[in-house]
Amino acid sequence: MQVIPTIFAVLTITFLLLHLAPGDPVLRLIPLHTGVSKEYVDSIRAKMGLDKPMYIQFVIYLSNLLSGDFGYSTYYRLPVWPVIMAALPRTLLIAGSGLALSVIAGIPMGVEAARRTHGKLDYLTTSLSVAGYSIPVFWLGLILMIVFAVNLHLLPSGGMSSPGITLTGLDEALDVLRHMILPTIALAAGQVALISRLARASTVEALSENYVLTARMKGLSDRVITYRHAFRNAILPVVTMIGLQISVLISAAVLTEIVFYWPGVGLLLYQSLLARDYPMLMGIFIITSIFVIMSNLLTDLAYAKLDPRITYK
Amino acid sequence: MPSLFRVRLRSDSIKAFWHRYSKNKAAVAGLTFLIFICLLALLAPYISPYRLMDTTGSPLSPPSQIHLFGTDDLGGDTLTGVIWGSRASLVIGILTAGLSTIVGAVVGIIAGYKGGVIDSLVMRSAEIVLVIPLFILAVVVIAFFGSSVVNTVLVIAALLWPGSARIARAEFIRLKPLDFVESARSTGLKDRSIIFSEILPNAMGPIIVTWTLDVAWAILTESGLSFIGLGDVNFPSWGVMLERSMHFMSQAWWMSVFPGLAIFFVVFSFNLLGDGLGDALSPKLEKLEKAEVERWTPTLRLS
Repeated sequence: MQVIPTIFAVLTITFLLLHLAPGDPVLRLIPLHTGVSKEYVDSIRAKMGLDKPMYIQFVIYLSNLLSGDFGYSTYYRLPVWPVIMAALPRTLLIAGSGLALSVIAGIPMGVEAARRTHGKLDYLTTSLSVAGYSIPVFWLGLILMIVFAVNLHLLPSGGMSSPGITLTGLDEALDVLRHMILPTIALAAGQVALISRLARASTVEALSENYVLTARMKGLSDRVITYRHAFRNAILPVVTMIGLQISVLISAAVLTEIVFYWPGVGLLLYQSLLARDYPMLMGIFIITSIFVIMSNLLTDLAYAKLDPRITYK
Repeated sequence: MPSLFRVRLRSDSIKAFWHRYSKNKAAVAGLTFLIFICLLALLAPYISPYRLMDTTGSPLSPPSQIHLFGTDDLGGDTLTGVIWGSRASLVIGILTAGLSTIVGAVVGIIAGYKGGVIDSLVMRSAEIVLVIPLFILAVVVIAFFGSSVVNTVLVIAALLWPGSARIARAEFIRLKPLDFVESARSTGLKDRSIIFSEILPNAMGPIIVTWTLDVAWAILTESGLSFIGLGDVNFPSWGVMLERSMHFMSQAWWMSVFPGLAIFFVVFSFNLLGDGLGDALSPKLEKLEKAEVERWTPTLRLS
């Protein structure tokens, strides 16, 4: 994957959106309703170079972004960058734990299913996995909340911490953990489905290789063959998929956060959408995209480490 | 003029196809459910127990004999909403996936058949779409251009086409060096004839499978967009119903449960249909496992 062209494409998309959407681009970048002086509007207009040709505007836009100027939120009345960067770790917290949960559950499920194809576990894994990625993540969140928070009162119904009480240290961490459980499960469901399905397929494939036959002839146990010999090859496609799923995971986290009122980038996106805070919307898209692109790069590097046949250009 | 549909479907080949498809019980169940939902959507005005968006009872009343799925906050019948909502989901899902599959297939065919600069350009742009958070992009685009069915279809299709482009390209690269294509070329057939009457009929299987899986994806995405308030108010969908249900979670579980179940079953059925078609349309293809693993093996990165 090529990092620079991809980031360039993302920036081009936001620029085109701003300029191709109907209406005056300047009016999307300044707070409405309240007394914004004409001088201020004109100064923004001049700053964007709106009187200059399109390609110069594009250069100005890029240089602003490169100098860290992601715009000014019309709703929060703050620069966009720090607001998003404050919310991003919270999104990564649930997205990361959702991913971790799905890897921990999905890989053993898939590998065990592959050891006995057409067995009971295999049948269960295969059918559950198609069901798993057919569930709308936000609906699963709603149902989990109705069952475990609204009716059983087992877990908090939303937010990131209990309101009205101040906790410190371990208590605070445990409180956040309790709030994390349901969003994490909602996020993991779809990923478990995909990961177990692929882990199954790639293990079946690896178990049919000649080196596995050799290991069998040596009289090694089934377990050792599966986990020592086949596993390493079987895991490679899963690593690739996890890399590509990060963008899906971030998208799913957005919807999950809205359901659970989890104060991350998703909730920020939702509130910015309601307030039609265009600089914030563009900023969220740019920053989450760059994050996903970077994590893809890391997965590529991890893949090259795991598979000595591949070198990264 | 070579026809796209020169696939000769003899009755025995349809029989053989059905024989393979019907071995997969889950796929048959999926197909049956989809036929049922399509009938519901077509007959919505005649079979709905009430008129859409009418106040038909007291607000937020639980499921009962007069309201099987309960009522919403305005006293509207949830069952009626679910039946009518099938129209939006099916129309948007099928249109979007159709558009993206056609665009993707054409682009993929050109890339796979011609190769060279066009090929690497197409694959590069497909790769870009794979690594950006598509749902966030869809939200931003619709925020700029306004929410309507047309915009939703266009945005989702624009984000989906690279998938089918990759599939179509891979098929064309697989088929191009085969003997029957070579012999067609040696008889002096033009590129266009070779593409449409020789390669395309043989590549249709994976393309159709991609389409069904894309329908599932499009329906999920549309429901997500509607859920956060970007649906078309004039075209009530299940996602719109779920958005409203969020505010009455503690009083009316039925408002959340039934529209969501409807989305789940339709998406599930399209996924089962896709799996079943994949098995039945490509009997000669290597084992399914191999195809699945190959999908995720990075070919572009191998140096």
